[in-house]
Amino acid sequence: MPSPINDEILEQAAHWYVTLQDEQCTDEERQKWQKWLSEHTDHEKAWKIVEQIHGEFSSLHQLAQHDHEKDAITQSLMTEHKINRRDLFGIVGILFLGGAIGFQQRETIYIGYLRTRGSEYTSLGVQQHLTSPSGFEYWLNTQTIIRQSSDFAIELLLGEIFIKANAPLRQALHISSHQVNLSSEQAQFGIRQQGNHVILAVLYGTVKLLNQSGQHIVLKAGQQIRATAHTLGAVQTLQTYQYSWIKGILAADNMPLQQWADEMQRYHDQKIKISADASQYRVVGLFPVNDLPQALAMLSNVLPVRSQTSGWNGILIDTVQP
Amino acid sequence: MVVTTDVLDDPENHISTYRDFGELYGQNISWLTAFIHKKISNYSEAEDIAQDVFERLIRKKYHQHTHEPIVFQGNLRAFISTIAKGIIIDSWRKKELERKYLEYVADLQHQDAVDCCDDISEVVDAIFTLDQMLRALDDDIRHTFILSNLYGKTYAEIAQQLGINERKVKAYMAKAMLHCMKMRTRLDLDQLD
Repeated sequence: MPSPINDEILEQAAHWYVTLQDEQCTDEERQKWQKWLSEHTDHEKAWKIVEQIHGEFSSLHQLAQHDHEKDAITQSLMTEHKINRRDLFGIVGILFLGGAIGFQQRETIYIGYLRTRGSEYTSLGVQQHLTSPSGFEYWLNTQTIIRQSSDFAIELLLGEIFIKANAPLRQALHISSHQVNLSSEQAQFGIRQQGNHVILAVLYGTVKLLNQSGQHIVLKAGQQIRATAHTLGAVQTLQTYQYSWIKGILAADNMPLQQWADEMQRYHDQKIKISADASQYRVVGLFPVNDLPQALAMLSNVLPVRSQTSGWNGILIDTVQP
Repeated sequence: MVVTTDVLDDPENHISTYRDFGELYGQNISWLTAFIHKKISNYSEAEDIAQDVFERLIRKKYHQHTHEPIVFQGNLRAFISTIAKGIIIDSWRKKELERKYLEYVADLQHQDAVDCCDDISEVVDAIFTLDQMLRALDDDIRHTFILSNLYGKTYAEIAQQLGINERKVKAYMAKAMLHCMKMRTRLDLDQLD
């Protein structure tokens, strides 16, 4: 996490910005600015922020090339909106909480909501297949949120993603999660967040993994690993169910029934429970993740179990009495 | 699983603990989506806003380096719905900005707004971002900053247009930039890396 830059440095950066924007800016001043820039990494960081803010305008500059468009933008930015923010809070406050929003909360909201761009999400039980213009495909599993900060950088905030880059990419693709950073130029791999760890499963190609503690490993096709921010597990053989979901299938290969239920649970609202007797079984087979009745029927075909509704919105899988 | 410790029945003392973000999300997404849907009629927009809420929540906790478990003290529902409100307001504001912008373009061009601009979403996004950054500034300061950045006017030209001296233009420029920088650094959303 970047440490905050102190206000004095921000002021200096703003001062240099004003100086350099001036067409009467001299070479001597430019050299002084260069010197200032190289004095401290925070100076550089502050200058990056200046560039970003300037960049917001530059992008608008390109989008609105005609004067009338610029004028319209200026008018939009200069006009007081009919519904001002305080009124909005009034309305919404009454609608939501009966007007009980403290000043501090208002400030938080006010500052916190520059809209983030480039995020994607999936709801419960939904898998989404997307194609990136940068030359790779990706799938999002149920209840996943990602943020794509650039063409080759994806932040996995929640859930599970599978990447397919069959041809070498122009540059390495970086995937970051709370715990680890991954990079790959050509691979098919999935990364899943679960509790405080992630599971990286590589189907094709190679993927570099680096965790927060600086431990790293290169994973090859047919391998998977469990990693936390500070530990790396043993490299294991790739399990099919780590990627079969992209086809909407749970591939169980000698999977304990409780784990089967946990996996199916990810896609469904109904609470899936396993009786103590039934939990001794292991499951083999391919099950449709989005069709629970069908999956349960298939389960009854391969194991001596049956399912019944249980309580409010629940399903109990129990052994069939002989 | 949520462990709720109820001390003296005061919502401020509720402590909600979640194993991970998945659990936090799973247990709160449906009521939040329903809640937002009640306030805005469009369901898919309500879904978008609910996702946005969690994205912010997760990013915030993530940048605080809060790892497992995730603990909230106080009324979690009120906290989450407050974030949702902020986003709803912003979505309104964005629509308002879009409407205004189209009006102005039409006025200035003397033709129908719908004909002139096929894809204005990028422009509206950019205006919205700038509006958030500049809104709190005084009119003259905001105007100075816009004239310099959007039109590329010199300090002398701006001074003439606004009827102020150049020294003041420079002071306004510095003030506007500093304000924007502070907004950005407090934001934590767009990390510098």
